[in-house]
Amino acid sequence: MKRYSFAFKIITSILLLYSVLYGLLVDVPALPILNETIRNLFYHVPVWFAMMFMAAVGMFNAVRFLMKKELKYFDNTHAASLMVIFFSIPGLLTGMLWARFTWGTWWTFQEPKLNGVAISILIYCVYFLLTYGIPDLKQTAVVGSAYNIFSFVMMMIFIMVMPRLTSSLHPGNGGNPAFGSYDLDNRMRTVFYPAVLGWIGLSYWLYDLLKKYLWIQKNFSGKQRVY
Amino acid sequence: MDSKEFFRKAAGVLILLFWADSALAQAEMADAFRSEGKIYVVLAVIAVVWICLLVFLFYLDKKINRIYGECKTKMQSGHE
Repeated sequence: MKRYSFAFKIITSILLLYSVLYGLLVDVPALPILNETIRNLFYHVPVWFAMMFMAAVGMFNAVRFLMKKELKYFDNTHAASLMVIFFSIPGLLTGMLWARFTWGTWWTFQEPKLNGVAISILIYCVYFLLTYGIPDLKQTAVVGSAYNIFSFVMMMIFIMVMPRLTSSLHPGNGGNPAFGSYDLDNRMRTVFYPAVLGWIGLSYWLYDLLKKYLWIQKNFSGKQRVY
Repeated sequence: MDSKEFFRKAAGVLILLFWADSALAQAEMADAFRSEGKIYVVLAVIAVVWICLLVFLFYLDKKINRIYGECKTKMQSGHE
Protein backbone atom coordinates (compact mmCIF):
# COMPACT_ATOMS: atom_id res chain seq x y z
CA MET A 1 0.00 0.00 0.00
CA LYS A 2 2.74 2.37 1.03
CA ARG A 3 4.77 1.50 -2.05
CA TYR A 4 1.78 2.13 -4.32
CA SER A 5 1.15 5.56 -2.85
CA PHE A 6 4.82 6.45 -3.29
CA ALA A 7 4.70 5.33 -6.92
CA PHE A 8 1.55 7.40 -7.40
CA LYS A 9 3.28 10.51 -6.07
CA ILE A 10 6.36 9.95 -8.22
CA ILE A 11 4.27 9.40 -11.36
CA THR A 12 2.20 12.50 -10.60
CA SER A 13 5.38 14.58 -10.17
CA ILE A 14 6.86 13.30 -13.42
CA LEU A 15 3.65 13.95 -15.37
CA LEU A 16 3.42 17.48 -13.94
CA LEU A 17 7.04 18.34 -14.68
CA TYR A 18 6.80 16.85 -18.18
CA SER A 19 3.63 18.73 -19.06
CA VAL A 20 4.77 22.04 -17.60
CA LEU A 21 8.14 21.96 -19.38
CA TYR A 22 7.34 20.23 -22.66
CA GLY A 23 4.21 22.35 -23.00
CA LEU A 24 6.49 25.30 -23.74
CA LEU A 25 8.54 23.44 -26.34
CA VAL A 26 6.05 21.38 -28.32
CA ASP A 27 5.07 22.55 -31.80
CA VAL A 28 1.61 24.04 -31.75
CA PRO A 29 -0.62 24.98 -34.71
CA ALA A 30 -0.33 28.65 -35.67
CA LEU A 31 -3.84 30.01 -35.32
CA PRO A 32 -4.94 33.65 -35.58
CA ILE A 33 -5.93 35.51 -32.38
CA LEU A 34 -4.80 32.59 -30.23
CA ASN A 35 -1.16 32.65 -31.40
CA GLU A 36 1.10 31.19 -28.70
CA THR A 37 -1.60 31.42 -26.05
CA ILE A 38 -2.91 28.08 -27.32
CA ARG A 39 -0.31 26.65 -24.94
CA ASN A 40 -2.54 27.77 -22.09
CA LEU A 41 -4.47 24.61 -22.89
CA PHE A 42 -1.74 22.72 -21.01
CA TYR A 43 -2.02 24.92 -17.93
CA HIS A 44 -5.50 26.42 -17.69
CA VAL A 45 -7.71 23.50 -18.70
CA PRO A 46 -6.16 20.76 -16.48
CA VAL A 47 -6.80 22.92 -13.40
CA TRP A 48 -10.51 22.87 -14.21
CA PHE A 49 -10.34 19.13 -14.82
CA ALA A 50 -8.78 18.68 -11.39
CA MET A 51 -11.52 20.87 -9.89
CA MET A 52 -14.26 18.81 -11.54
CA PHE A 53 -12.57 15.61 -10.40
CA MET A 54 -12.57 16.86 -6.82
CA ALA A 55 -16.24 17.84 -7.12
CA ALA A 56 -16.97 14.32 -8.34
CA VAL A 57 -15.03 12.81 -5.41
CA GLY A 58 -17.06 14.98 -3.02
CA MET A 59 -20.35 13.94 -4.62
CA PHE A 60 -19.41 10.26 -4.56
CA ASN A 61 -18.55 10.41 -0.86
CA ALA A 62 -21.74 12.34 -0.12
CA VAL A 63 -23.75 9.52 -1.71
CA ARG A 64 -21.79 6.96 0.29
CA PHE A 65 -22.46 8.92 3.50
CA LEU A 66 -26.18 9.07 2.86
CA MET A 67 -26.22 5.33 2.16
CA LYS A 68 -24.04 4.14 5.07
CA LYS A 69 -24.37 7.03 7.57
CA GLU A 70 -20.70 6.82 8.53
CA LEU A 71 -19.25 10.22 9.33
CA LYS A 72 -15.86 9.49 7.72
CA TYR A 73 -17.44 9.72 4.26
CA PHE A 74 -18.73 13.18 5.02
CA ASP A 75 -15.21 14.15 6.14
CA ASN A 76 -14.08 13.16 2.64
CA THR A 77 -16.84 15.24 1.08
CA HIS A 78 -15.83 18.24 3.16
CA ALA A 79 -12.14 17.97 2.21
CA ALA A 80 -13.02 17.52 -1.47
CA SER A 81 -15.25 20.62 -1.39
CA LEU A 82 -12.40 22.66 0.09
CA MET A 83 -10.25 21.44 -2.80
CA VAL A 84 -12.94 22.50 -5.28
CA ILE A 85 -12.77 26.06 -3.94
CA PHE A 86 -8.97 25.92 -3.95
CA PHE A 87 -8.73 24.82 -7.60
CA SER A 88 -11.41 27.19 -8.84
CA ILE A 89 -9.30 30.23 -7.90
CA PRO A 90 -6.29 29.58 -10.22
CA GLY A 91 -8.72 28.32 -12.86
CA LEU A 92 -10.70 31.55 -12.80
CA LEU A 93 -7.66 33.83 -12.67
CA THR A 94 -5.83 32.11 -15.54
CA GLY A 95 -9.05 32.04 -17.55
CA MET A 96 -9.52 35.77 -17.06
CA LEU A 97 -5.94 36.46 -18.12
CA TRP A 98 -6.31 34.32 -21.22
CA ALA A 99 -9.64 35.98 -22.07
CA ARG A 100 -8.10 39.45 -21.73
CA PHE A 101 -5.57 38.75 -24.49
CA THR A 102 -7.71 36.69 -26.86
CA TRP A 103 -11.31 37.87 -26.41
CA GLY A 104 -10.18 41.33 -25.34
CA THR A 105 -11.90 41.52 -21.97
CA TRP A 106 -11.34 40.21 -18.46
CA TRP A 107 -14.91 39.06 -18.02
CA THR A 108 -17.85 38.90 -20.34
CA PHE A 109 -21.43 38.27 -19.30
CA GLN A 110 -22.28 37.06 -22.80
CA GLU A 111 -20.25 33.95 -22.12
CA PRO A 112 -22.40 31.30 -20.40
CA LYS A 113 -19.43 29.24 -19.23
CA LEU A 114 -17.95 32.12 -17.22
CA ASN A 115 -21.30 32.92 -15.62
CA GLY A 116 -21.93 29.25 -14.99
CA VAL A 117 -18.59 28.82 -13.29
CA ALA A 118 -19.16 31.91 -11.13
CA ILE A 119 -22.59 30.60 -10.10
CA SER A 120 -21.20 27.15 -9.32
CA ILE A 121 -18.48 28.60 -7.13
CA LEU A 122 -21.15 30.56 -5.27
CA ILE A 123 -23.15 27.34 -4.90
CA TYR A 124 -20.10 25.69 -3.33
CA CYS A 125 -19.65 28.71 -1.03
CA VAL A 126 -23.23 28.21 0.13
CA TYR A 127 -22.28 24.62 0.96
CA PHE A 128 -19.74 25.98 3.45
CA LEU A 129 -22.25 28.45 4.89
CA LEU A 130 -24.61 25.54 5.39
CA THR A 131 -22.13 23.19 7.03
CA TYR A 132 -20.59 25.81 9.30
CA GLY A 133 -24.01 27.17 10.20
CA ILE A 134 -25.85 24.11 11.50
CA PRO A 135 -25.10 23.46 15.18
CA ASP A 136 -25.80 19.72 15.27
CA LEU A 137 -23.02 17.58 13.83
CA LYS A 138 -25.13 14.72 12.50
CA GLN A 139 -27.58 17.14 10.92
CA THR A 140 -24.71 19.05 9.35
CA ALA A 141 -23.48 15.89 7.71
CA VAL A 142 -26.88 14.88 6.34
CA VAL A 143 -27.83 18.33 5.07
CA GLY A 144 -24.30 19.02 3.83
CA SER A 145 -23.99 15.84 1.80
CA ALA A 146 -27.48 16.20 0.35
CA TYR A 147 -26.61 19.75 -0.64
CA ASN A 148 -23.24 18.63 -2.01
CA ILE A 149 -24.92 16.22 -4.44
CA PHE A 150 -27.18 19.06 -5.53
CA SER A 151 -24.26 21.47 -5.99
CA PHE A 152 -22.30 18.93 -8.05
CA VAL A 153 -25.27 18.39 -10.36
CA MET A 154 -25.83 22.15 -10.66
CA MET A 155 -22.15 22.71 -11.44
CA MET A 156 -22.23 20.09 -14.18
CA ILE A 157 -25.36 21.68 -15.65
CA PHE A 158 -23.92 25.19 -15.47
CA ILE A 159 -20.50 24.45 -16.94
CA MET A 160 -21.07 21.41 -19.15
CA VAL A 161 -24.69 21.56 -20.36
CA MET A 162 -25.78 25.21 -20.45
CA PRO A 163 -22.84 26.50 -22.54
CA ARG A 164 -23.60 23.86 -25.16
CA LEU A 165 -27.22 24.98 -25.49
CA THR A 166 -26.51 28.64 -26.15
CA SER A 167 -23.71 30.42 -27.96
CA SER A 168 -20.34 30.36 -26.26
CA LEU A 169 -16.82 31.44 -27.00
CA HIS A 170 -15.31 28.37 -25.43
CA PRO A 171 -14.31 25.62 -27.85
CA GLY A 172 -16.71 22.72 -28.00
CA ASN A 173 -19.68 24.83 -26.89
CA GLY A 174 -22.57 26.43 -28.71
CA GLY A 175 -21.58 25.24 -32.18
CA ASN A 176 -17.92 26.07 -31.77
CA PRO A 177 -15.66 23.19 -32.73
CA ALA A 178 -14.21 21.31 -29.79
CA PHE A 179 -10.51 20.97 -29.18
CA GLY A 180 -10.90 17.46 -30.54
CA SER A 181 -11.68 18.47 -34.10
CA TYR A 182 -8.79 20.62 -35.24
CA ASP A 183 -7.53 22.89 -32.51
CA LEU A 184 -6.05 19.96 -30.64
CA ASP A 185 -3.72 18.15 -33.00
CA ASN A 186 -1.75 15.03 -32.16
CA ARG A 187 1.36 16.86 -31.01
CA MET A 188 -0.68 18.81 -28.46
CA ARG A 189 -2.39 15.64 -27.28
CA THR A 190 0.97 14.25 -26.15
CA VAL A 191 1.14 17.09 -23.63
CA PHE A 192 -2.53 17.71 -22.88
CA TYR A 193 -3.48 14.24 -21.63
CA PRO A 194 -0.43 13.84 -19.35
CA ALA A 195 -1.16 17.35 -18.03
CA VAL A 196 -4.75 16.40 -17.18
CA LEU A 197 -3.61 13.19 -15.46
CA GLY A 198 -0.85 15.02 -13.60
CA TRP A 199 -3.16 17.74 -12.29
CA ILE A 200 -5.82 15.23 -11.27
CA GLY A 201 -3.09 13.29 -9.46
CA LEU A 202 -1.90 16.45 -7.72
CA SER A 203 -5.43 17.32 -6.67
CA TYR A 204 -5.86 13.85 -5.19
CA TRP A 205 -2.54 14.10 -3.39
CA LEU A 206 -3.44 17.45 -1.81
CA TYR A 207 -6.93 16.19 -0.98
CA ASP A 208 -5.37 13.23 0.84
CA LEU A 209 -3.12 15.53 2.87
CA LEU A 210 -6.01 17.86 3.71
CA LYS A 211 -8.13 14.90 4.76
CA LYS A 212 -5.44 13.67 7.14
CA TYR A 213 -4.94 17.16 8.54
CA LEU A 214 -8.69 17.53 9.16
CA TRP A 215 -8.80 14.09 10.78
CA ILE A 216 -6.01 15.01 13.20
CA GLN A 217 -7.66 18.34 13.94
CA LYS A 218 -10.99 16.68 14.58
CA ASN A 219 -9.70 14.00 16.92
CA PHE A 220 -6.74 15.57 18.69
CA SER A 221 -7.03 19.36 18.71
CA GLY A 222 -9.75 19.47 21.35
CA LYS A 223 -11.97 21.39 18.97
CA GLN A 224 -15.59 20.34 19.02
CA ARG A 225 -15.92 20.30 15.25
CA VAL A 226 -14.06 21.07 12.06
CA TYR A 227 -17.12 21.68 9.90
CA MET B 1 6.88 18.39 -42.29
CA ASP B 2 9.12 20.76 -40.38
CA SER B 3 7.73 23.64 -38.44
CA LYS B 4 8.74 26.29 -40.97
CA GLU B 5 6.96 24.52 -43.79
CA PHE B 6 3.94 23.96 -41.60
CA PHE B 7 3.91 27.61 -40.64
CA ARG B 8 4.08 28.66 -44.30
CA LYS B 9 1.25 26.32 -45.25
CA ALA B 10 -0.87 27.35 -42.28
CA ALA B 11 -0.29 31.01 -43.10
CA GLY B 12 -1.30 30.35 -46.71
CA VAL B 13 -4.53 28.67 -45.68
CA LEU B 14 -5.28 31.46 -43.27
CA ILE B 15 -4.62 34.15 -45.87
CA LEU B 16 -7.09 32.39 -48.18
CA LEU B 17 -9.62 32.20 -45.38
CA PHE B 18 -9.29 35.76 -44.15
CA TRP B 19 -8.17 37.53 -47.31
CA ALA B 20 -10.52 40.43 -46.57
CA ASP B 21 -9.29 40.92 -43.06
CA SER B 22 -5.56 41.30 -43.29
CA ALA B 23 -5.19 41.83 -39.56
CA LEU B 24 -6.38 38.31 -38.95
CA ALA B 25 -4.41 36.75 -41.78
CA GLN B 26 -1.12 36.31 -39.92
CA ALA B 27 -0.91 34.20 -36.83
CA GLU B 28 2.24 35.48 -35.22
CA MET B 29 4.11 32.94 -33.21
CA ALA B 30 7.13 33.44 -30.98
CA ASP B 31 9.53 32.05 -33.58
CA ALA B 32 12.23 34.67 -33.16
CA PHE B 33 12.05 34.19 -29.40
CA ARG B 34 12.70 30.50 -29.87
CA SER B 35 15.44 30.88 -32.49
CA GLU B 36 17.66 32.69 -29.98
CA GLY B 37 17.91 29.48 -28.03
CA LYS B 38 17.66 30.97 -24.57
CA ILE B 39 14.17 29.58 -24.03
CA TYR B 40 15.97 26.66 -22.39
CA VAL B 41 17.10 28.95 -19.60
CA VAL B 42 13.46 29.69 -18.86
CA LEU B 43 12.71 25.99 -18.93
CA ALA B 44 15.54 25.33 -16.50
CA VAL B 45 14.20 28.01 -14.14
CA ILE B 46 10.68 26.62 -14.28
CA ALA B 47 12.07 23.12 -13.72
CA VAL B 48 14.01 24.24 -10.64
CA VAL B 49 10.98 26.01 -9.18
CA TRP B 50 8.67 23.06 -9.77
CA ILE B 51 11.18 20.51 -8.48
CA CYS B 52 11.60 22.56 -5.31
CA LEU B 53 7.83 22.78 -4.88
CA LEU B 54 7.41 19.04 -5.39
CA VAL B 55 10.27 18.20 -3.04
CA PHE B 56 8.62 20.39 -0.41
CA LEU B 57 5.33 18.62 -1.05
CA PHE B 58 7.02 15.24 -0.54
CA TYR B 59 8.55 16.53 2.70
CA LEU B 60 5.21 17.85 3.94
CA ASP B 61 3.53 14.63 2.90
CA LYS B 62 6.02 12.61 4.91
CA LYS B 63 5.52 14.77 8.00
CA ILE B 64 1.73 14.68 7.87
CA ASN B 65 1.72 10.94 7.22
CA ARG B 66 3.99 10.36 10.21
CA ILE B 67 1.85 12.41 12.58
CA TYR B 68 -1.28 10.81 11.12
CA GLY B 69 0.13 7.34 11.81
CA GLU B 70 1.07 8.33 15.36
CA CYS B 71 -2.42 9.67 16.01
CA LYS B 72 -3.96 6.53 14.57
CA THR B 73 -1.99 4.25 16.88
CA LYS B 74 -2.70 6.54 19.82
CA MET B 75 -6.40 6.32 19.10
CA GLN B 76 -6.33 2.54 18.80
CA SER B 77 -4.60 2.27 22.17
CA GLY B 78 -7.48 4.01 23.87
CA HIS B 79 -7.26 7.77 23.40
CA GLU B 80 -11.02 8.13 23.14
